Parts: sequence; C-alpha cells; structure tokens
Amino acid sequence: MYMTDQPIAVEAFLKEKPSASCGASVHFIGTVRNHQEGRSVRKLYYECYESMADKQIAAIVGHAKRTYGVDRIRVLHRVGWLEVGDVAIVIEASSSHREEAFTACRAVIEEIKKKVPIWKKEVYEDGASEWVLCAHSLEVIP
Amino acid sequence: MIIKVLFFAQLKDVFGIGERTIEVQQGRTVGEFVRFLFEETGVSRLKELPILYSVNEDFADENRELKDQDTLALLPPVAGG
Repeated sequence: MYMTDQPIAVEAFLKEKPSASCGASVHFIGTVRNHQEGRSVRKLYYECYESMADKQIAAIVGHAKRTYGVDRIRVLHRVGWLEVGDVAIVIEASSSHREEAFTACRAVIEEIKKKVPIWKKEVYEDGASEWVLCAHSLEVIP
Repeated sequence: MIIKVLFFAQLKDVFGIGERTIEVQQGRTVGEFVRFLFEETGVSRLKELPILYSVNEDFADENRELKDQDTLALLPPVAGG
C-alpha cells in the first residue's frame, strides 16, 4: 500500500489535489544522494519487510493525523535498486493551514526513519557495499 | 510447535537465508529462542548490530512468549526514508 518497487512518478503524486478545505500541502521528496560520510555512492538497494512496513506506516500516518489535525497524509516509499538522483520517498501532508502541514510532514518522515522495517545497502564507487547503520534508528533500541 | 523466522538485510546475509520454519519448545520466549538460534547455527552475534524483534508484524520484546504458528522477524537497525 505504501511501498512500491517501481520508479515513483512525482508529478502524478503532486497532481492529486487535497480537499477544498485544505489551504496548505507540504511535500517531502527524498532522493538518493551521491555521497555518505565521505564515500562516493553509486547506487543503493532498499529491502523491506513489506507487510510490517505497511502496517507501521499506516500507524505513523494515523497518529500524525490525529496529533496534528491534518486532513490528509500520503506516503510512497520505493524499494529495490535505486540510482543516484532517484526518488526514494514522497510524502504529502495537507491541512487547512500551513503550520500543521509542515509539522505533520516532518514528523512522518522522522518516524519512518526510526520505526519502519526498511534497510538500505549502499554500493560505493570503489565497488564495495554495506548495509547502512543510521544513528536515528539506533535511538529506538531498548 | 512450529514458528516461521524471517531474516533481513545483514542478518539475511550472515544466516544465508531469508526465511526458515523451525520447531520450537513450548513456552520459549523470543530471547531464549534467538540465543538458541545463534548457537545452533554457529553465527556470531555482532555487538555493533543491535536486533529488534517482531512477532506477527508487531514489535515484541525478548520476554514475549512464542506461540505455535507465530512469525518471528529479526530486524537489524532500520534505514528507510
């Protein structure tokens, strides 16, 4: 539901208009960058536990909607092999006013980074590769 | 009883498999089972790789008692987004 192994069509995602009661839509677009901690990244691979990832994102979206009172939140996360510049994730938060939309969009991406079972393997220019250990994901380790 | 175990990312690499069905003694907790699993397979547990667990797609702690037909997933630190 929230995961796709196909390239994300950003324009089509942005075209879906929210309800007429919304005066603000905030979008986050995450792309693959060409460097990580001083190393040149050539491409990366996202693996996920899809059924659990969908469940976790649904819970994050539901919580953000209730907490910030936003009208609509959409999320689409890509998995599989991605090249530098490819879109990895798009998020939309729409609400009557901009403040809730900004806050909800930020909260959703931060929670996804901490709690959703998705893993990233980076392949570097020298041909080496490794699974990424992000500091933010270690915050939730008991 | 029988449970399904799922491995992802680094753990899929070191165990050499994404999924296993394993017979487990009644009453075993997640923590007890995982210790048994590492011993049985001879895989070294990396200190720098903390593992979270889920049972039937919900996060679970080490004290959770496993039940027949449960799906236990071993989850390395996540890196999505």
